[in-house]
Amino acid sequence: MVEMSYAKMRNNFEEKYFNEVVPALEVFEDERKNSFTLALLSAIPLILIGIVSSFFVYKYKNGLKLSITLIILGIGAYHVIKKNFENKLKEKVMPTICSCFENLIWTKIPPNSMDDGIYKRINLIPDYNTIESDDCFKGSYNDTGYSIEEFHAIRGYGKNRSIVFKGAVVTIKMHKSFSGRTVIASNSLFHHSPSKDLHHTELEDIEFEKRFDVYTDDDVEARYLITPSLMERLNNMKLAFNAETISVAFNNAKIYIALHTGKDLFSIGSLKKQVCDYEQFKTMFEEIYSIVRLIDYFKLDQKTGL
Amino acid sequence: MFILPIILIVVTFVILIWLYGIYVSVIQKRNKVQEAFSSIDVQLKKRYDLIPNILTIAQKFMDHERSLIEDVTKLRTQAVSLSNDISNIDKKMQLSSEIADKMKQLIVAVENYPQLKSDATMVTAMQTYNEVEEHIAAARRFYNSAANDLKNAVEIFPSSLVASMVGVKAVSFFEATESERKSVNASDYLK
Repeated sequence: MVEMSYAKMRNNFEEKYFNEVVPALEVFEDERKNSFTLALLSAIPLILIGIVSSFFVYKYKNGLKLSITLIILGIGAYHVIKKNFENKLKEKVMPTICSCFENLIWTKIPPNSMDDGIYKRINLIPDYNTIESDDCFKGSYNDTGYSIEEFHAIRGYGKNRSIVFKGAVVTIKMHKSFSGRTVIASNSLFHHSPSKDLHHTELEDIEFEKRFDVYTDDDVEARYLITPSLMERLNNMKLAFNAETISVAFNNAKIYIALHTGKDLFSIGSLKKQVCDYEQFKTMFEEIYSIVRLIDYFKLDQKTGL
Repeated sequence: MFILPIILIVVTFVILIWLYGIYVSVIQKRNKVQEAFSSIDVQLKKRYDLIPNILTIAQKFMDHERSLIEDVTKLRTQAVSLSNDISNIDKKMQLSSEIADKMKQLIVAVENYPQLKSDATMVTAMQTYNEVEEHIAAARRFYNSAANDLKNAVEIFPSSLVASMVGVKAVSFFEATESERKSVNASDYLK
């Protein structure tokens, strides 16, 4: 049933890609070349000036800082032009690609408008001050509502900024009802709880305990949610996008799965490749599909899921 | 000259603190077992409160299952009358297993009554019952985890010394009964 569903989505995607996406994007090919040229003309001089000047200004106070700033500006200029082009393409093609999946909608969230601190409150990801969001998807699969939000979370300001999370969070509505809070985090030596309301609890699966720590405010509910079969699935799960780590939080009738990938996801519109480069779109399709499959994998569409 | 007594006092103090830490740990583990046992009781109570509703609905349709319904009612009455004391855990486990076994038979027997199977109230009651059973399983896992921690503390030196001094003993695990270990043959229940 699942494999038929995947085959159907894949066929849909290929059909729409060749019949709708390619004709819509062909007109952007010239713009891509122009954007690439502009990006190189913006970036290379700044970077070269920065490198060359560093040999002369290093003896002056703040001299090296100026050189480094020029290099960063050059890289930043390339990135901004690339991102603008990518956004333009996504506005054009994402509705078509999303129509390959059941009830999926894509939005480009403006920076900081999505964050109400939810991921901090449920201790899904480390404490942060700001969020820079990228893509957001909302859909339903087998009558199970879900959303995917790609972002990176930053702690600190100015020189003390550090990225504490880069990846995607998948939120899925659960058919199990529960009232407490439970978090599955990566294993740590001292089991330092992410919140004073949560205490560490040890479960039976040895392999699971080697990789993860569980924190909860209700030991029985934690075991109701984290069944032996869930632990086994987490142990065996081939991490979507080769995520460095995953963390899971159960809160308010939803499961939140954070995939710490350390890289940009759902990327299309590379300035270096042809605008209709199939591999980019195929990769994005596979990324979305592997996330949607988490619902099947964890049986979240069933009342006795997990 | 005064150094030796001072060192002795400090060492004694450290040892006493250490022993006190072990004592606290043993008592905490015992209390956790009590807490876990109570959590099983909470879930069992939910199950026993739900059973009469299921039986009332089932009785309207299941003419041929009267003896099964009566057995469940009898067992439930016995289970509810047991006091909430950890010394009753073996009896509680046995009754719980017998009730679960009879309810499994009843659930399978529902398949023979299409009208009952599609009854909306029965469907909701069965879903709630399944959730309660999952919670019971979770509570049992929690109890076993707490019992295991206590058993380790009681059997492993040096906490075993402290445990024997204060009279803390290990408790039995919540284990599957013989009937639960047997594989279910659906044809025994389906007509």
